[in-house]
Amino acid sequence: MTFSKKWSAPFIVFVIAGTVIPILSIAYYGFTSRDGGITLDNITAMFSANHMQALGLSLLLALVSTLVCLIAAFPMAMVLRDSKFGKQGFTIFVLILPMWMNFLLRTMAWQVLLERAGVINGILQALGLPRQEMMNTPGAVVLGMVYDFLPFMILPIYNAVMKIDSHLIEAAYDLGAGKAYVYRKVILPLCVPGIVSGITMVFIPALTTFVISNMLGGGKVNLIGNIIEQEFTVNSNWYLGSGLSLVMMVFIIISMVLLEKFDKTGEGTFI
Amino acid sequence: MAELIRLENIRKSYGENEVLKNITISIQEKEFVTLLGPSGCGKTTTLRILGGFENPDSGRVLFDGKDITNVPSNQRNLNTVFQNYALFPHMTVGDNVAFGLRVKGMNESDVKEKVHYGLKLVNLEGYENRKISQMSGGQQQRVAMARAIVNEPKVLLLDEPLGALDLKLRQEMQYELVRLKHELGITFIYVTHDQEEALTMSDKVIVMNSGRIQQEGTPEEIYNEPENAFVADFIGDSNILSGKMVRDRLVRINGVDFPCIDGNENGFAPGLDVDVLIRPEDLEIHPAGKGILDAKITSKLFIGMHYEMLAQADTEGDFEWLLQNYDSYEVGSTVGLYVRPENIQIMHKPKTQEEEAIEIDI
Repeated sequence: MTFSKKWSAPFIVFVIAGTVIPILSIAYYGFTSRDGGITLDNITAMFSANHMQALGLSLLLALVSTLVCLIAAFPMAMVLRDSKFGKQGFTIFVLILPMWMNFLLRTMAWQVLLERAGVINGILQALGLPRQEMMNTPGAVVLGMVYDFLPFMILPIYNAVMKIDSHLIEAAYDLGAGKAYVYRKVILPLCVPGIVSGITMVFIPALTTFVISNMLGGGKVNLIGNIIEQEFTVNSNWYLGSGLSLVMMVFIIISMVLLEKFDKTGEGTFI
Repeated sequence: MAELIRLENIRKSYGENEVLKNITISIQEKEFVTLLGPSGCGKTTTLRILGGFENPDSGRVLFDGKDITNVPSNQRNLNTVFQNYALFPHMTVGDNVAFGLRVKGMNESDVKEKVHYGLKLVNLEGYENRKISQMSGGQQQRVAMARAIVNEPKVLLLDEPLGALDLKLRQEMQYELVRLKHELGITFIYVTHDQEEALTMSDKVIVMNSGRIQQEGTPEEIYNEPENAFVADFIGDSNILSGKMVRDRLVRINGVDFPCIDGNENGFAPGLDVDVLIRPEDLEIHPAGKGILDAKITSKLFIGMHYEMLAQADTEGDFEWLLQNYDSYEVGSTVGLYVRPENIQIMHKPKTQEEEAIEIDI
């Protein structure tokens, strides 16, 4: 027996218990109604006006925060690439340090900063400036998403950027290329696996989050994640919640397949 | 031939480490120049300064009479073949070769033609659509050559381009490189630590060590008339001994007098301490008592074309001579060793501490 065969048993059990059974039970609830009959109502419910609105807002906020993360992470990775070896490790350490803090606590910290009587408004007032309504806005939710998910964008891009052989960049300059050309034709294409991986790791949790929108949106920013959560908790409607979850899963699979088209090496995606 | 490139009083340090200590090099048009030396001698740094990847701390780089010291690499009329080839892994062979042409904004039909020509020159016709990862090391090497050549540079810089290839391929590529150089009629500046590569391909060899130029000359000059013990030791096998000039045309080594062809007129005055180089193939083996000195064979290796033997001489200093001979002599037998006067190379001993430092073991 090979090593992999000998040790695969626990993982098979894990996959069955952790993936197959939950998905099958979600599928069961998603395709049945309260009285036990088979129905597509829970699936088609996604197309109702308020659900579509929530999905649209979710998509928009997830896209915006993914884009902000990307714009922040790529230059940072390039700066890190050129800095000294010891500095790189320290900077990365500082960047992921907040990740070691509790997720709720991190998001709550933003509440304290953004509140009507919060730290930022306190400073504005002290400076004689008018107070700003920052809490419970889509902007606050995007801020929370970016803050929470930025490390997931930085790490894969940083990895991809660091892997680029500096001789490749020198070779491009040697062949007459200017800086912009080198970025466009050499550095960016070689970072695609990292970028795709980063987008996947930021976009998907941002698309489905309900905690951040709950805490920083205060019920006024209703994302698809919040609706699914409410079906399971407040309304105790597991059937509708499961149905909407299934639609979201299909949605995520489609977006990952689309993303994979950009990553010819197949290093960044998981399908 | 006109001077094309001139490096003038180049100095370069990384922190405390002085890599280049006042280097001046002149390179003629259409010359094949090799920078030869052990790792860390500064040869690659010199090439990188030429390519525009490093700036010298002081000194000037002249190209066609113009000062290009501060001209960035993308504006220099030269191209580099990198040690690890540095081919773009996300592009096909054709796109790699076309890179420099597309940068210049050449139209696609001309690009295609040029790429075809470039690949043909390096015997890779029809490989345009291959991925880099599908090419062997030797093929990648050729792609890197083609990518540089198609830009029609005046000078091609080559940084140990054959280093990663196996022996057979390396020898093949040496012939290829010389052929390419003649076909293209451009200047090649080649960096290597391999003395064989340097001797077989170059018009001029520049031997470097510890950031200094030790000697420059034709391969024959470097091999036959090394200026110091470092060059003698680095190029080819050698017996290097301390000696003292007895009088003109006579040098005493380990208490034995050897007739030579040097004397006061070329700077070796009687009484001067000198280094003496005798190549192992120049030691003739005669019956015992018939040479200049007798020695006992202590070991013997069959190398293929010849035998390589060590012989212990019964003289002062306990020196073991390295011999190369087509004939085999039994270990334990005593033979007479003879050297023709013209095969004894007398060299000045390093005078200063600075010069002493170049005699590191390699």
